[in-house]
Amino acid sequence: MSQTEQGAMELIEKVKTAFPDHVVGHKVFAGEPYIQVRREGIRDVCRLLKDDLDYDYPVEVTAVDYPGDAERFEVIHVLFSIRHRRRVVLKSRVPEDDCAIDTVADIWRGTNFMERETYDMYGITFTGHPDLRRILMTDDFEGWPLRKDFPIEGRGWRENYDFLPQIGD
Amino acid sequence: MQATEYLWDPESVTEDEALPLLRTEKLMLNMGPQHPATHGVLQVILELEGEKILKATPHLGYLHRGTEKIAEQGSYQHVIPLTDRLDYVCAMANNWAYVRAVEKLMQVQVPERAEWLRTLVAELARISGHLFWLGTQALDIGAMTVFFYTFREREVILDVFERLCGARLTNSYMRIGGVERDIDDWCVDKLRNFLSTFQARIDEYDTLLKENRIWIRRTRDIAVITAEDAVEYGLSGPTVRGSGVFYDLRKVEPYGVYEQLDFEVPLGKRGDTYDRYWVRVREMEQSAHMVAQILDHMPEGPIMTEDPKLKRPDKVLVNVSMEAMIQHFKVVCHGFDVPKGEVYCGTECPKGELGFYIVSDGTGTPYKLKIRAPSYVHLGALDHMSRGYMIADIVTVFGTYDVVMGECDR
Repeated sequence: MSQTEQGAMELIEKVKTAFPDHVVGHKVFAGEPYIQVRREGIRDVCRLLKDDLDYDYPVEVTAVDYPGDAERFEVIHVLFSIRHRRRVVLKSRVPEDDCAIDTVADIWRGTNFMERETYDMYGITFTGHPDLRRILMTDDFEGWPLRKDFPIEGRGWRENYDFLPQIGD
Repeated sequence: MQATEYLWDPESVTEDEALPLLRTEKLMLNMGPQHPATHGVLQVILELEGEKILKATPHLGYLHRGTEKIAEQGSYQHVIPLTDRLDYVCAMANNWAYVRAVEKLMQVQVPERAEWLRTLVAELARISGHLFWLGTQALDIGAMTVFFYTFREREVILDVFERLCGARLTNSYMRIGGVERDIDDWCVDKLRNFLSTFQARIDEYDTLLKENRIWIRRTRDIAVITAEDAVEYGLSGPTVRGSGVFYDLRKVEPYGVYEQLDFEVPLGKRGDTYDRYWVRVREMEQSAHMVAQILDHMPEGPIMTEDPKLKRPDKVLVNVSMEAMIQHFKVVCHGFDVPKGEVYCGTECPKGELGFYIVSDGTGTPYKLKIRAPSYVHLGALDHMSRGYMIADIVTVFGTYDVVMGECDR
């Protein structure tokens, strides 16, 4: 086991011992730890990482859509520690019928925009976010573009204009 | 009776009485999306008190093209031209950021010469991106001459890119597993000529800006951000290094051949616009230094991995050999399958950390591709960094991030 992998395992153990109920699973890929966290515990884990383990740099917040799964969405938090030069990826599952997870925008202010984009693209609500609005799409846009069931071709727009060539002509 | 007695004496009025007289009102001002200094289509709603900015709300998405959605439709190779359109000023660096992420997921070994070539073009892209930034930032602030000078130098780099891959801006030079074409003597000569004069050119920019009183007063102590705030906001690249934070992925997580090159990471002290300007200009010097080292030490060898799933066969062979023809078809039409998994890979681009989060479901199409664009993250700090400054400084503030909207809106 290389040194980076050992560091990754140590980190996973630290998070596990602090919150045994919150951590569901883990893996190490390319020397980086990936921790599966229950969505109820995301704030606790993030606080631990920020305050005690020096993960001071928010890299990315995003989500992945798995339409077939019981808990459809997976929210991803990628964090980096500038002092230890290490990265960690947190993953937490969110079901479709209660599409919400706690915000971490007050822990790292930089995640404000990242969470807004995730909301805009997937419709996942970040509870407690100071300004949860659409950001890349217009305010009156309907639907969540990056969900797998969102069509790649536009619907009902071309038909409204006679002068445009119609699909199928 | 003296005339002064009729005049209003502010000292005699209590604060409560004065309020209705001195009516203050917040002014909402719309800036953009069509504005020459926003480097694309960025709209900012400014809340002003007099000339002071109370709040700046960026409205993004005018250049949103759904890159991440398109990427979920095609093969992994189809994404490479899309990355050109992110930060169209330095497309080479974006190409590299993407192919690195896929290679990290696939655990592909890239030939040594390809890594040297990638580092070479990435550093050239950094010089070209910083030259572009310097010219436009100076133009925004009012110094027009610098723009003409920096674009003269940038032209040389674009000529080399054109020779190397046939395109000046949207390069698509990198492939998963290597690079498309090898560098030739013409490019090497051109680059050596360029390097022989480049330091003098940088000195020339310095004479125009470094001690220019107008430049200093427009940039010194403008858009200050402390090291702690810069880190918490996730700023990257020269923007975070201007605040004195040592966060450069080339040193922190060395990739390419950066471990074998001798270079320094310039750091600012105050975290203001002038320091970020200083950091970028010094970075250009360091990049030029690296390019010189690469030209001297680049080893000979293949530029593309031998993996038949990734490498297109020789064109001559395709015309005569059945197997080569099949392989060509497979590589071009089907692409290749990527093992199931997910990965985040960040690369130090001229603007900052460009990261790709890729989820693969084991097929030849990315299941999910998220682009962590530095410009987007930087604009998250726009409000924080512009509060309390004058309205004339807002152009300086988003100029200092080196924001390119193609990358921000994706």
